[in-house]
Amino acid sequence: MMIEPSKVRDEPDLAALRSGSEIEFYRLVSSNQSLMLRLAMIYCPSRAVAEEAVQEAWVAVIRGLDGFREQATLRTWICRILINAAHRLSGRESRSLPFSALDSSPDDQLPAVDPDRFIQSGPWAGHWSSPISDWIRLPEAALLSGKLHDIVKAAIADLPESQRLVITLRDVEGCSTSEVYEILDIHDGHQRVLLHRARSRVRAVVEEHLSTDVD
Amino acid sequence: MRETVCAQLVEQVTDYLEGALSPEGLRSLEEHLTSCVSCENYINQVRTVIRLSARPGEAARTELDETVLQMFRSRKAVQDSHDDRAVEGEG
Repeated sequence: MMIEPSKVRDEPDLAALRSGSEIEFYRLVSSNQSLMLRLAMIYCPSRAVAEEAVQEAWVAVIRGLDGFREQATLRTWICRILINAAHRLSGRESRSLPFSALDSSPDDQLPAVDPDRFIQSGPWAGHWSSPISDWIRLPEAALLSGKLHDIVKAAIADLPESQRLVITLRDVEGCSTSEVYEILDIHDGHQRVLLHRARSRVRAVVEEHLSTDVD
Repeated sequence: MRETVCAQLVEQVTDYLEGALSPEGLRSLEEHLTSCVSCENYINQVRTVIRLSARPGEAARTELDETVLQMFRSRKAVQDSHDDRAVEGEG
């Protein structure tokens, strides 16, 4: 049974924040800043603009603390503020729902694996035409090397925006499905389609790298 | 229900890992896995990719701008002055 990271994460003490606890504010910042920057960088043309969006979001968070209604978690509320700031600073038209733009990209319809990898006809149609390798047998060093992380990171950066958003929140930052729903307004089913496509693509990139590099 | 083949399994792997398959779908997929090492490896590859994606602290935290902290402090100062007035009002 997997434990959802969000269940483990401490929720900040809202009352302490509202009464001005700097320690609590630092905790809030350190537990959200990395996610905010990563999200902002998906929308903003440069890192500098993304950092500006993060700063602007914090200002809005401080101003809005008293008005925050606890229907959402602080984290998802902060993310939505951040996304609005990032939209504005990067000159996108503002939308009441940040993700009405999450139209499916033609790329979302692509198969997870190149159809040529499967036998096309005969009694074995649909089965692998050549075996899939067991990465568990790879030298641990290959899996743990920073290089493989860099390849994954680059593959994620190359994904269409909607896929990049969902995989960043779910797999990079460890958000739960319901948090992603609160932040992006994408229902479970659509999230899974985007996540599926994103993970499939990243796997293919890693496979390609390993087949040329580790043999 | 027809037996799952490899080309179908690769499209179901996310639903499988997310626990979103129907009971029949799950049964059919797991039955396929008992006889297909490549598909078992494929699913483990996807699991590896998920592990590799999670790298905490990668985005290098930006330092919190001093003005933001000042704002947080001044918010408290404003609050305190309100509180003081409230106390004076009571007295």
